[in-house]
Amino acid sequence: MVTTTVWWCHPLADSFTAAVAATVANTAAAHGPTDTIDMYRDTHVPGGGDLLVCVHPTWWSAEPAAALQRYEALTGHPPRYRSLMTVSTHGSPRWVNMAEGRNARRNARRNIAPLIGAERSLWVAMYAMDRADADARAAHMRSASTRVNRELTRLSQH
Amino acid sequence: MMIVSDGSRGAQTFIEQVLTQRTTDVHVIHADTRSSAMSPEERRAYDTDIPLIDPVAVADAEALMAARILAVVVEPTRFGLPSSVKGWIDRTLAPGVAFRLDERTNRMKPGLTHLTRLVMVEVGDGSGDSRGARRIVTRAVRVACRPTIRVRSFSHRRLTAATTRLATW
Repeated sequence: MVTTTVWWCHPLADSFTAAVAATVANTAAAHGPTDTIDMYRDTHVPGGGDLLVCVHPTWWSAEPAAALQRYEALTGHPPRYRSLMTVSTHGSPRWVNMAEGRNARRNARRNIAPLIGAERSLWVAMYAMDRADADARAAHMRSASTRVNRELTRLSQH
Repeated sequence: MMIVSDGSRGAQTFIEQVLTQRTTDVHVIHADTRSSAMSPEERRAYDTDIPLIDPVAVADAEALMAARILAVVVEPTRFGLPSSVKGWIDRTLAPGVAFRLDERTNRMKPGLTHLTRLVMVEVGDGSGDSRGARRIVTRAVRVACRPTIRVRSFSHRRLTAATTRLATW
């Protein structure tokens, strides 16, 4: 049995990001205890476990400011997780994000994962959200669910 | 010139130095005096014809549209750009200000084409993620500017040069 925390960030509770977070949480619940925390509306912070899944949009090549605020508050007593997964959406295409430096992805790998002691940092992203149709959004949800399922299976075997 | 800072002591000291050499045409914003997180109402407005609804953000956007130089002065955190300045970017660089979406292709068209210089200044002791902070300004915000914009960044070791340049540009 593995424990998961889904930590999501979006101003709107009825956003696509919220729907992705709910899908991820449903997938994780089949593997063990799952805690879902809304960075905007919940005041408590992740308490540690096996997998931390951060779900947020990427704005200006980085996390929303509300997410950065929460990360900054973690530095005193960071929770411990074995693995970190970030699920994000980008309004612009992949090549634009490459040109911008993929800062959210870089931040997860270089800064957040070492802070929480995660051995792995996984990145699941949807690009060109501004031009995406319902099929593309559904595919992103399936992709996030599949990756969470795979990672939790791996964690339960090690 | 517009200077956006995180309000840190180092940033305030640097800006005071600039203001001793350049007394006019400088609009200073300390982002820590603004709300960082975009509110639900602001996010709903973002996709409408009136994307900015906060009076402070509207005033900041108007000042930005009147500036020729945008300088960001921050002390990078462990996570790169401080959340206060990232919040200012999220809440001020809205559609109609920093960019517009082409109705036919839904591709982004730059809106900050009036800027001639984009400047990043890092203060502090260099212990934060300078590269992460620098990339958001000099690469992501740059996408909203004209292709020929002049981009410069100054590390915490080159503050004297940064002061001189910002005073004379």
